Amino acid sequence: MDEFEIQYHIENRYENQVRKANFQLLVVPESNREQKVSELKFATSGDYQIHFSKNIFGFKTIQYFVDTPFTEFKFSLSAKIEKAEFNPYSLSPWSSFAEYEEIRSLDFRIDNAIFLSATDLTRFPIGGEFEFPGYSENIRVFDFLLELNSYIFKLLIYTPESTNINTRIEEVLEFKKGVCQDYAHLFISLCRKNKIPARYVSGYLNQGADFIGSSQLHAWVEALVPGLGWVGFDSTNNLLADHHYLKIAHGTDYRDCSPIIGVLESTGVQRSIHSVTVTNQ
Amino acid sequence: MKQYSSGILDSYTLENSHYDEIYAGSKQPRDHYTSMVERFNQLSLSDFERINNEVKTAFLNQGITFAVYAEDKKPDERIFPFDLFPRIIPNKEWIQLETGVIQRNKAINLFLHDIYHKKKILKDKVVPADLIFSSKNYLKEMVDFTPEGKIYTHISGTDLIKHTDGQYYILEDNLRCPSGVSYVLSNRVALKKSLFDLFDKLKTKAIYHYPEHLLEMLKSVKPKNIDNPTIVVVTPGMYNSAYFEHSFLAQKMGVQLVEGRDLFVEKDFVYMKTIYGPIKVDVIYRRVDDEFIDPLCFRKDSMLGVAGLMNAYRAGNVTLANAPGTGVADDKAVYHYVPDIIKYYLNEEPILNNVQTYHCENESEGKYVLENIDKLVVKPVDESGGYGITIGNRLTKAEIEEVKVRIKSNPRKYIAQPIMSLSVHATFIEESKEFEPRHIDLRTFCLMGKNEDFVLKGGLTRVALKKGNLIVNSSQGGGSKDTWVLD
Repeated sequence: MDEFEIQYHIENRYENQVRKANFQLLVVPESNREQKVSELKFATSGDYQIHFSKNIFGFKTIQYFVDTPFTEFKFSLSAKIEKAEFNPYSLSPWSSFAEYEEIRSLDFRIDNAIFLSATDLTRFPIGGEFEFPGYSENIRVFDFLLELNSYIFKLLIYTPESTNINTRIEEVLEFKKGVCQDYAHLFISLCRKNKIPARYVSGYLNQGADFIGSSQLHAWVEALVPGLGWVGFDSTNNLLADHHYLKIAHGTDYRDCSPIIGVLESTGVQRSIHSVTVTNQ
Repeated sequence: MKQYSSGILDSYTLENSHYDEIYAGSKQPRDHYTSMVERFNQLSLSDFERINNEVKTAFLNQGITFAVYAEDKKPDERIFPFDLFPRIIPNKEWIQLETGVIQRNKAINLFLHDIYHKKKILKDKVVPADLIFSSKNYLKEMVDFTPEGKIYTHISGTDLIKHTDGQYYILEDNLRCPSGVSYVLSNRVALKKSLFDLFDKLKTKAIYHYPEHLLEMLKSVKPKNIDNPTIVVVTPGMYNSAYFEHSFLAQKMGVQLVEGRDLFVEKDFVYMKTIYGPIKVDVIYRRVDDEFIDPLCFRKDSMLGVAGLMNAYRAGNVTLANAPGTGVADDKAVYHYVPDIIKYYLNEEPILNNVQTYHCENESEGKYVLENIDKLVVKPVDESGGYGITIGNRLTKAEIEEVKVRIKSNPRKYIAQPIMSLSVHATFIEESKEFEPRHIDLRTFCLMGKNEDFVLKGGLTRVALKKGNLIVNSSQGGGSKDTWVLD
């Protein structure tokens, strides 16, 4: 059992006064089989009432409805998380042929349709040239995903601020640069292209271990391996998601997992600073 | 031998290639039209024009208008053209229509619940799974969520036509809060004044109580534990083409007409701002499209919606009519499967006919379409209002090639149907000052609540005013007629 302490901080400054705002934050780590949130504290720049809601996938969101004018919105979260160690390299008891049959079956495709359909951010470009071999009945799904993970890791160069949250796969492939959500979107895109269900995961990553992308919220992917369940792959670091990965939420792509969405009554530009620290206790 | 010596219908010329609603073959009116034809033939042209002008002025004074949109142009505000000669439907025929419409909408509701939950119909291969999951109107936000009373399509508008064979065919299903009912109610008010004696004599079925039924239906789907629900109509605003209807319905139901900015969500409850402070809202008849209703959930740039509405909805604290995500079922590619959907859920034969539909995505059907475009109507699956429709026998060679390119580039987007011959109805044409045959269809209005399924007796008979035109939508220059269902 490992214990982690998380600090998440966001500061939004607005050029002009904001008259009214709705904020929705998706930053609280989930409690699941391997991780337990033992302490949770919040602070905001104003005396705003906190409200918890659930998003469409059942993950806990924080809502603030602000109807007093402001030019600055600050939010911080601190949490303690207990995380069980586990071996992500557990193999599916199924043969590659059985896996293949399952993946091709209609019921499987219907039950996982949401994580098989391309979204704007995960659509693989038509006619896009790509030499990575497709999934076939002779490869175990897990092995295919491992290869895909290291392929993307080698293909892209991690380049902060080279892309934004609306960057499409076309662009990532063209410039071969990106940040964690681009690695994740490309991974998802190729899984779905090969009919393997895949979902975008947002979360915190233990910084003590010196991973890429750990000073901000991190993104990785969970893919569905028949006979095994959802397995986390982090192609930004060419790793499997183990106990250093503290999950917040999953969805079809980044847009289901945005850490903060604000709907504001205001004009002008805003500047935003996020920071994350994760320490192993 | 002339039957009516000086009637204004004398010069009416029959077109034998179409089903004429009034006349069967010769100039002998069908039984249910006899008294109406007699009544109109008693009028002189100047009498008729006087009445016609009175009615038009009445519409203008009531502000019964709609806006037409075209690219790069300012919207054009028009009076909805209205024809004085009502379309008449005998009761026996109506009962078949009514039961058919209810049957269809019941099945569609069960279908929507299924594809957002267990997806049995897809697993049983009755409807292709890819067809549903590739639809942009299939909303993940609705998956595993059950709206109050399992009702999705509280308000629907099924469009029907009558073909040369005298049979009704379903043209399309409109499940995203269809417009038009306000015209039906206003048409009736105007016409009843001018033709009251006949209206009474023929024992025409009343329609004035539609807003009461609408209100009752909305009350019936209130969230649990609410006794006296607060109901509102949400409009995109006065620049919307159906704004007249939104305000009309709100006023007739005695509920508030609001815009998104008049509402807010706090702690998963929806409130309306009033001068007395916030009032909690329980049921929303929304006339704003899915993608604009909640900027937190759907389009972030939407100025028409309410931030947090979907959270409140999914928490069960407010009912939306219609439910989001119903558009997946009125997709014109799904239309093709509605007869199978009816059989699957209700174990009944469909009462109303579907028009034969070719699905361009299907290889052999797509091939047939490309080879026979001149004989087919090609429609985009996800548009409404008659936009993007091409009618094969009206196209030049170059236009046919253009349509082919469009279909090939995105076959999922197009379906094709044989060119159906819409029935014609005598309609007064201002330019010729004569009655001439014009194509018509019928939009029905169906309400589904917890306590009753209701179809407005009659509906909106839409008229294609341009000679020979088959597209009746008001945005494409169509007009309307009052529709009388007899006792």
